Amino acid sequence: MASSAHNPSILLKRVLSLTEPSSFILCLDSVSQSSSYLIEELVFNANKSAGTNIIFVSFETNDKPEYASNFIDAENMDLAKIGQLVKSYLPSSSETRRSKNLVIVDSLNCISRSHLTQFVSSIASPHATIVATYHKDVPEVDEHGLENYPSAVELLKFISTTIMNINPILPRSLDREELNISLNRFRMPRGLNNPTFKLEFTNRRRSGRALSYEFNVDTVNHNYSIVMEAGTEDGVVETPEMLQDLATFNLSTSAKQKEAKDQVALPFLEAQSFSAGGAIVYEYEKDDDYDEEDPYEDPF
Amino acid sequence: MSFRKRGEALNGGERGVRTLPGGRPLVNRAIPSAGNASMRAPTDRMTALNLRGRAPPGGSVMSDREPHVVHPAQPSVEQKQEAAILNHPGVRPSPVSSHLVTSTGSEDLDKILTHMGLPLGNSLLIEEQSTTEFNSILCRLFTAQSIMYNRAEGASHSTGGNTHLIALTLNQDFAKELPGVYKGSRKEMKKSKIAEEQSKISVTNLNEQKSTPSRYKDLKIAWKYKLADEKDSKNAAQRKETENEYQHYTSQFDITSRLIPAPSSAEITFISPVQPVISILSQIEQTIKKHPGKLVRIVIPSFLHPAMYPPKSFKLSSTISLLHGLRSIIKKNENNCVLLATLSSDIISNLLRVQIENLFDSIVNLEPFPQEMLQFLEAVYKSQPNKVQHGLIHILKLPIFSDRGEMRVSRSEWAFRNGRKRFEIEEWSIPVEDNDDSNTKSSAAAEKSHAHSDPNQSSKSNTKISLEY
Amino acid sequence: MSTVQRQDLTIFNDQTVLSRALLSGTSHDMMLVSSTMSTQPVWLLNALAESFLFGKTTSINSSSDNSRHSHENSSRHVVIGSFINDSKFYTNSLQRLKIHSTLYTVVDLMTDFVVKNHDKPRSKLLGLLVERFTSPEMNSMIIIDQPEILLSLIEGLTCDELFKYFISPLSKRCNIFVVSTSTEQFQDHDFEPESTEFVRFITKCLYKSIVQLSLNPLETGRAKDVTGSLRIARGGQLTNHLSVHVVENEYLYLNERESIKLFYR
Repeated sequence: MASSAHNPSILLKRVLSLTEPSSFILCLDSVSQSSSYLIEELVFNANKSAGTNIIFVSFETNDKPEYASNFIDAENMDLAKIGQLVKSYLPSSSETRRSKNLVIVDSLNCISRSHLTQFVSSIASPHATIVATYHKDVPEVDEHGLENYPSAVELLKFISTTIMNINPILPRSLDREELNISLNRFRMPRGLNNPTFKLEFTNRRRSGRALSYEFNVDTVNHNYSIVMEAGTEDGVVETPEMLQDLATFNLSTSAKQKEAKDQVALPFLEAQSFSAGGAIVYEYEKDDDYDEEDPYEDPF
Repeated sequence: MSFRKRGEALNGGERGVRTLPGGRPLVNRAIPSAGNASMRAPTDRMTALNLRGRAPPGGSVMSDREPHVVHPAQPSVEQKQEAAILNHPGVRPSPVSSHLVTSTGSEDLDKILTHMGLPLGNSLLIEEQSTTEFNSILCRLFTAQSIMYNRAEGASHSTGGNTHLIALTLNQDFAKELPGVYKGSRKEMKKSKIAEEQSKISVTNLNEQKSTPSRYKDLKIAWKYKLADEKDSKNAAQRKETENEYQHYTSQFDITSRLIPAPSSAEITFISPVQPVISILSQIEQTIKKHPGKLVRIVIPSFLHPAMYPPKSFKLSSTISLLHGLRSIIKKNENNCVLLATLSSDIISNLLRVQIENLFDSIVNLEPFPQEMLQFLEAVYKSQPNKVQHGLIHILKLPIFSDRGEMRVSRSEWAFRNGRKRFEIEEWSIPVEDNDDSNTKSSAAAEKSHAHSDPNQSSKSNTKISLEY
Repeated sequence: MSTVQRQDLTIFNDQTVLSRALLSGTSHDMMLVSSTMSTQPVWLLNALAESFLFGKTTSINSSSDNSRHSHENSSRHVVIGSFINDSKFYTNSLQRLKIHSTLYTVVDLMTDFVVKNHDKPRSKLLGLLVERFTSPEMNSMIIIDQPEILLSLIEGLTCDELFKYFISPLSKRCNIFVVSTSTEQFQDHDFEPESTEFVRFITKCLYKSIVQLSLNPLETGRAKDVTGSLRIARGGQLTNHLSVHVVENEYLYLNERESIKLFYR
């Protein structure tokens, strides 16, 4: 287990194929990149070993996905009933059979904040992994009497064991600002909801310590490449040796030349020190015609 | 093109026959015979229009050529009602679509609605920014126009008038504040008529007077304006023709005078807006039923004015239910009903405003000029103070066209001026000032006044203004 | 602009507006049409209905052959329900397209809605509304125009209830479910707290749809030769279960004198 922590891609793969124990995987998505592709990828990995029991709890999906072994149309049910149904499709806790169980919840947004944690624990089971999506861009309804209670996202992040924060890889024609303008007007730009997307992956160890990585996930080729943090590959410092033999004339400077160059007083150095507070440095010259009376001519 | 005109040609040029003094309208052009009535759905506007102007294709029994054929006995109630609307002095065909329209009481507003009025079965919302009350003038004109229709010559008094107005307001004095028709004593009338003729630039005036209007001298590029004037006068001549045809369609009001006698309860029904939505709606429906065959014009002056409407009527479920119900009533009575409402848009939230706008067929938005802009205009038109415009009028939705999905928004293209005799609307352009000194200063003022002009107005129209400038 | 070539409307990669693939399975797919006050959608809804019934649209880039609709495909049926227009509004426009009246039903949810329904409890009322859509389960399309008005009309109605009792049950009654909604209030303004339910509504529609068709005016305002732009973009739902996928596109269109012309942007 410890070894997987060193290779982020393997860790992600293990989580997606349900071999790494993680009881509650939270997917945070937005309309610009919904969790659909990630869920498909997870199912793809989990199904590699046959016999995974997939229970789909639907709050906003009309049709039973092909991969689902059981489909619960939860939109019209009360939460307790959903919990019971899910439990009935899962092996009882006393059973020791080691088959994999996956509970997919397509959206947690229509569950009120006050029942959220309760609901998640009602469908949780030691044998099953819960994968639930929460849409980041759906505003929360204000509820009375929940002052100071954490927001739904905060709650879910706190109780989850893995967080998959999904973001789109923007097409070249689109920058983030344009994306936001379009989405604020609820007009989907083209080139979103692609099979390849960005994933901020946070996995909590049993101690509660979190490991975070960023991936580009390609669900077509099932390829996960970690995104290096910018700035690790620093620009190499230029040395005089690098400039040798590049041209027929001399590009490099000798030590002596360099020293001489450093000694040159730069003409505008005074302006670089900001102690003067932006004052105009002005010296009279003999031809200057300065009128004491004219208030507009005062150069200071 | 007017279908009516064709009808007249066939009629042997019996112009104004509908409104022969004292006489009842000649209904034979419009009342369908029993023979062709079966051919058309009673609500099909296109056929209805055909009936009005000329015989429907294949309609063999009645046509304009046979105006004196004895009418088949006992037309159905529905047909009678329809005929009454078709011959109504305040109803004419739209020049741009196949709909019948009625006047808003302001000729220029009718014009920018492109239909020369508000199509029957449609609603118009007049929004106004800031706290000015130009909208109430339009409301009164609309109301006074309804009363004028009802009192027009040729209206069949035996049936108790031809028009009914429903006012959704608590203000019972509303009826007493209506403007009267523009007229004075005989002498005054003559005088003013001459003055009016002179001030009107028409082809004959230009030729006869020999003196050019003073503004030609004032302006350096007068020839260009002259061209525009000539075009105007041509239009005016054309307009005159149609004016004759629909001489009772739009009245000219004098907002400093009062309509006398004040309208009676037979002409206006007041309904309180401060009661449950359902009772408002049922009262309106009953009132419409009580006046069969009449043109029913509904007006809601200062909708959601906080002095009249309690806080709870600002709730979406209350406001939108009322307007949705009204929309349903208007569409149900689309052959004889129109609605005009005015609203101060500053006082309501964006959400509510958009929901309200959604339920209207046409919307104009009045944006009165701020002080700096007015000062600038006054300075420019020093010699012609009556040319100072009072604000911009933006068109957000046009009847019929917007529903079809045509993009008919025009912002900052029209300006309005409220005068004693007329609510004028003209194309807007910032005037150029001769005086160079004050030019820069006041242009800055103008620019400034526009920078904060309209919170709803998108930035593009602002840019447009400065470009025009 | 006169030299610009007209384009056919296509949404799916088999060059169709509504692919046959949508009808082949048992899936219930949702499409979202969003529009603004100045670019109203009735022509697009008509075009969708027309191409669902006949496999092609004659109403766009109109040619004179719209009389040639054969009625062989009469096994298909369109139901249009509107909260903003009465039934006449749609029957008139569909008649103009020479679509036979047996092929569609218009459910008038505007006329007398308030008067008839003001005293009914929310969930019951929504249930009754659903019952008015009597369409065959197979080979049918339901178009619903501005259901978000219910959020204003019915006191206390939440977006979740609207979906639970109205949108979801309806969408399961047909193969293709089209929601037409107005995005006018989001055009120039930031969210106000009171519009939360409206934001939830449209966001949820986007998540549930396989495609969004959005009609917007040009950023530059009114133009003589362009009414607005029609953008076709993927929604939150995958089309893996279908043999086709959505082709994203953006057209300019001109709606004038009841004819529609499409151009590429």
